[in-house]
Amino acid sequence: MNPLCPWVERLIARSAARDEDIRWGWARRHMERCPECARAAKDFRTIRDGLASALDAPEPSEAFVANMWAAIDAPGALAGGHAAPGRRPAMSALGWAGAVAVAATAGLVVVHSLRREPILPGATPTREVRIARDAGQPETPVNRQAAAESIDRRGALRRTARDTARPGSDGDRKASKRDTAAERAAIQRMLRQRQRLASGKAAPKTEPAAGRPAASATSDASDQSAAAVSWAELGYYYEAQSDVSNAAYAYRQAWREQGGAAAAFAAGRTSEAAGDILSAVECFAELLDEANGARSSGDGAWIMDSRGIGVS
Amino acid sequence: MEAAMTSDCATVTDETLARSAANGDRLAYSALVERYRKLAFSTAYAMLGNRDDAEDVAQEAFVRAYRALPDFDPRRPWGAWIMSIVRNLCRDAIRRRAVRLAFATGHAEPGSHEPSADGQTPESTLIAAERLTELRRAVADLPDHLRAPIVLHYAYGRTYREIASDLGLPESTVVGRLAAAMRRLRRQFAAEASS
Repeated sequence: MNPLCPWVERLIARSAARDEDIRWGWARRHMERCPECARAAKDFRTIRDGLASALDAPEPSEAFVANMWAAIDAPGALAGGHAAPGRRPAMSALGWAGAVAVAATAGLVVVHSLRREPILPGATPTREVRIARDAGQPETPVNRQAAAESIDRRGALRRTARDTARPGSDGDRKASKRDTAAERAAIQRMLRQRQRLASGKAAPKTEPAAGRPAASATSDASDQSAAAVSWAELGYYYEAQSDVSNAAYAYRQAWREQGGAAAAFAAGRTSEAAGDILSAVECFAELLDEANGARSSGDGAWIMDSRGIGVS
Repeated sequence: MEAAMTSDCATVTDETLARSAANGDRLAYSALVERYRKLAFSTAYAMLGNRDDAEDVAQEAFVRAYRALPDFDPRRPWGAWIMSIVRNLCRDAIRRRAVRLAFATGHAEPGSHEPSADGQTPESTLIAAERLTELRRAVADLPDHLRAPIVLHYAYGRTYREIASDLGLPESTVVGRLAAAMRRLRRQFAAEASS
């Protein structure tokens, strides 16, 4: 086969497709010499003539227009397929309802994912800790307390912190103790306000007067109890907010003040989650000591509830 | 009255008729359908290879176009718009594999297209008829993109320019596909002859 034959065959096919004779002189001369290409030209002519005879050209039926109007007037839906090109079909009411539902769900998800504000009024401890870090202060329990003190935006906690925490004045330990007491008192006030709000009573606008010692003593007594509960509650709250550092601190405070296997376990668990392994080991060791004591005396049984494990 | 309206419609542009149809003038839309129904049907038939499917698709195209008339941009040519709807529906039909190719099933009424048998023996006439049937079968076996220009050109006598407009392709592509289809048909016949 001549190497030109494939090219000539293509040219012949293209010419046959255009219903014309081959235009190129060199290809015509090649066809005169090459019997194979001459046969190809003949085959293409035969196919072309055969196609003109073989293929029919049906027309649409007489009822085409009537059927079309019937389909237009019918209330039924169309079969599948594209609508008008480049244009969206008009959205049905169901489509709009679905779109609104999807948008509302997406909005709820976004709002929920962005919602870092706690349920308690204005608690932003992690931000406070971050600010303390940015200011070059060490991240100490004192700073965590200061972070917790920012819970109340109405100023009570800020006043207390201003009056108590003065680093370096009396030594860190004394300042820490004062901070703890001040924070506890602030949390008590916060809890009382929450209880009043929950019971529908208005919160008092002023603190109790200094000239009422009996009432103040009663209040302090109830405050002690409320404060002991509040540390565990605060830890529970922080844990629910995934703030394990402050949760661990709160649980440790609750454990130190109240003791108990549940508080120790919670403190150890959250300390471990916060990366404070030493505190976690301390808590768990205490818990094990308590459990061993209970087992050796034979008067306790392990229990586990939503707040952790303990000895009954 | 209706005949007068129809004759009036004959001098009106497609876009004017489309605007009128969008305002609820059914007569105007009937005139539009009358102008394009053969073209739509032939294009659908060339792409699908089946008369029933082609009629369904062409009909559905006009129904969809009627419902989308309020969105029709009168600056665009209506003919190109309806043909693009036809092509899209044909592609969907091919994709759904709901097309029943009928070229090879004797749908084409071969007797009406047989070559003249004058001066030929009955045996040669029979051979010619067999070859035409084979040719129809071979065309039916062509890929869709090669079969459509063949059918439009040789069955409906559409020019390359018109085929290019119908199928939304450049004219050179149409000629190239026609040539490719011819070469494939020749190879197929050569293989059958050798076997």
